[in-house]
Amino acid sequence: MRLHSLRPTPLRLGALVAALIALIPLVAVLVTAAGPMADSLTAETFWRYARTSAALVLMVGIGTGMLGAATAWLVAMHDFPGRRLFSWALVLPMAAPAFVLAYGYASLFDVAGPIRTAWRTAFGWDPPLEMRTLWGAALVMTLGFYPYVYLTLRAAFLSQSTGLAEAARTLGLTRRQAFWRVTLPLARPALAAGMALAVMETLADYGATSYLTVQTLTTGVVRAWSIFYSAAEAARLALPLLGAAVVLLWIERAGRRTTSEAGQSRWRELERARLSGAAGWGAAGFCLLLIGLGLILPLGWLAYLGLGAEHDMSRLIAGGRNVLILGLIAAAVTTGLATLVALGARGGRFLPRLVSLGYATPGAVMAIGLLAPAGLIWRAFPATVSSFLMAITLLILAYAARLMAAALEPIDAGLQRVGRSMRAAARSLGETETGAARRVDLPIASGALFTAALLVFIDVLKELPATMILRPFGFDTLAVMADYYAKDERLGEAAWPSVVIVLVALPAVLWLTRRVSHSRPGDRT
Amino acid sequence: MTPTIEVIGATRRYGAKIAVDGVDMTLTPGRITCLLGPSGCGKSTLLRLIAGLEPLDAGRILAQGRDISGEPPERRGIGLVFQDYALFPHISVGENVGFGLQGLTRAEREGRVRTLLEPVHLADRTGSFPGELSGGEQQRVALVRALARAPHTVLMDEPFSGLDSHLKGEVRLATLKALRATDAAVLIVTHDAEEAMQMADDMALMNEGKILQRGTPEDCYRNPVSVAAARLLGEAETLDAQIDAGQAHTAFGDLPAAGLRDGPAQVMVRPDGFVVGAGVPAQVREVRFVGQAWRATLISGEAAVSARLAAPPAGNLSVSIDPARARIFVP
Repeated sequence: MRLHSLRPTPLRLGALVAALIALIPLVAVLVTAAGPMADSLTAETFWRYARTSAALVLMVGIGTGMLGAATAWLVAMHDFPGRRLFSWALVLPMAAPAFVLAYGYASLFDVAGPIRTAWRTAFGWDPPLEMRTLWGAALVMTLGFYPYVYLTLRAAFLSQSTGLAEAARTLGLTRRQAFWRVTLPLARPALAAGMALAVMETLADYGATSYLTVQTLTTGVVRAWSIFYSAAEAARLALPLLGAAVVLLWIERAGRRTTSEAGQSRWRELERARLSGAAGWGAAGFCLLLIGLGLILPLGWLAYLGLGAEHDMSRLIAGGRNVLILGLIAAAVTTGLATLVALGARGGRFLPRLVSLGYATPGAVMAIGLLAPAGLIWRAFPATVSSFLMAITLLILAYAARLMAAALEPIDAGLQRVGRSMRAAARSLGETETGAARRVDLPIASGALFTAALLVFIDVLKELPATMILRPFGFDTLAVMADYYAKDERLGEAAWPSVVIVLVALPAVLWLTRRVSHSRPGDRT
Repeated sequence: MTPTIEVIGATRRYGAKIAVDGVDMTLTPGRITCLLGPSGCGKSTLLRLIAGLEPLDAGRILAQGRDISGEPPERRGIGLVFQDYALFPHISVGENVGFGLQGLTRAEREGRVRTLLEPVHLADRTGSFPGELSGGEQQRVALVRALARAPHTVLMDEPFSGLDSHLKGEVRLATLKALRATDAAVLIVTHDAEEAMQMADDMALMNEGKILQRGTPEDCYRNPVSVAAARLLGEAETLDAQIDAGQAHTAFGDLPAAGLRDGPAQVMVRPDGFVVGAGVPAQVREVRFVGQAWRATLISGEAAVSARLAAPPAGNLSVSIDPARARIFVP
């Protein structure tokens, strides 16, 4: 098949174009970074940003790893009150963008906020619980991103052959020893993959870190562009982020490969240990605490602030309309491009890898990468394009470049239901490659296409840095509005768009995680 | 008769492995050729090469005299039946059968589909979906779908392997009947010797990417060209032999070997080729009843063979080899 796949067909060309869309911004970042620049970026600043990013990554990585592993271990291997409910409810924090959690926590733990005020009244001294620090940002992101580890690790536990753990038991290990010596080591790659995803989100974040006044490489990229209008400086700050993306992607892919090999025999539900009495309620309490801290507490506090504040309904509606339009177009374009990659690069690894690199790249970096090619087009056809359309197009391309890999995954899975022989059958019955895709592949994978589109839509809804950099002047999305109000210390008004985002994302996130996890064998929770 | 398909020196490599190694083969109209070989011998790859699903690394394929080596599968006029049937799950049986009948009006297509499904007793299932059919019914739909465009050649890849054993015989007969009703050249790929011999007009034995032997089933069975070819069509025991003046001496007695060069040789014996009676004394081990016969391990000197005996042996035996069930191969 290898040589075969070099022959250009419409589908392969389409796949190539789609992959180029993901690749061009990344190359442009490299080129821009090599360009001339003002001296505004000192080496000292660069290293300070880099150190902060590294520290944040380390803390969030460890934090999400521990919380994700603990919850996955509890839910996959134990029975306790509410286990079935928690098995899906634990993903709820994924519905909230990190900046929403940051607003909530910063306000709750403000010097004048409810918690420290109550503490001072009760104990007479001020507790050192400032959220506008590196530690605060790490806490917020750990609470928001642990579900990535939880989901990958739970899937790994559930897909592991029960025979392995049973064999360990018959060889004289207790249940606990079997977990530490067999089950967990086998799931180690999945743990690494989940942590890689959480770290990717951490590096991509702009809204939470900038609000909590933590200066990372990513906030630096946005600042360099939006304050100094220096694409070269932004690109230079983006270089380590690109490097990190490559490493994280490699970890994530390696983890995935081993996970799928770990369980080869028949699927059987893992035997779960019953936690009764205090242990059971303790487990339930722990899960409830995480969901409370990761979503309910900060969101509830924000909603409370929002209800007490004035708000401009017409701006809210305009922001909602804008993000709806962007989200729908981006979902259609990205799903279409991802479908081309899935169909055209079938069996190949290279193009999907390339596309995945886009997913590992922070949105701010993607946006900077699109500025240079846009400048070229701009100079080539100065009068022909309206700046509004140009900006919208760039934004859609940025979303597509970044989210194509996310859309590719369900589409690939959906297309796997179309056997190789089914496709060959269509060809032998007189259809061309494209015709077979139209009449066989796409109808069978239509559910997966919808899943992919929804994934993209939700991510666009929550996206902040790329939108801020590339949006047309005065074109606000809900996330941009929230950021603007929050930076203006009008949290009550920031609460409205924030809560809307979460309320729209919640059912979608639940539906998506259930759908994705149900497609895995062995998972029937 | 002009061949429908001519394969000339077909070669396909996967890295260092040569899956199909310079294979020549012809398929003629109205005749069924069975390509028999162990799994991994390259027989499915050869089928995919003919269908255009894999590119040739070397060689040519002609269809009705025309070189089709570079043609995409949709332009080769070849019907395919897959091991897993490859019915499209999202459309009905009728739409599956009519999938390749583009360019007809809806009414024409439906009429044609009905005429095609009638002889296989599935005309009343046109509205059903593939998932609602039994394995045997799916197999028939796959066959009819492949025949719908009146292909000059039909290729079938292990077409009966997914069926329960009690269904196989019946489905094979129905398939033969449907294929005989066309004038297509047919190639059936299988690893099941009995199936191959039951279906085939012509046989081709394949191993390690090469065609070992071609001929009628009986010819291939009785006159294998090598031990490997003999093993493909059934169990075969091999014995070291020494040829001396027109006689092959083995641990289980002598065989006539007129005209063969003196020196070492190999003798292939079918399990039922060991005859109890006058001959060489043999020790008997591990006697088992296997239905219509007894299997026993016979030992003579260094040699041990698994023989198929008509009656249970009582103690050690005296045996000889039936020359009609044995072949001598001189290296």
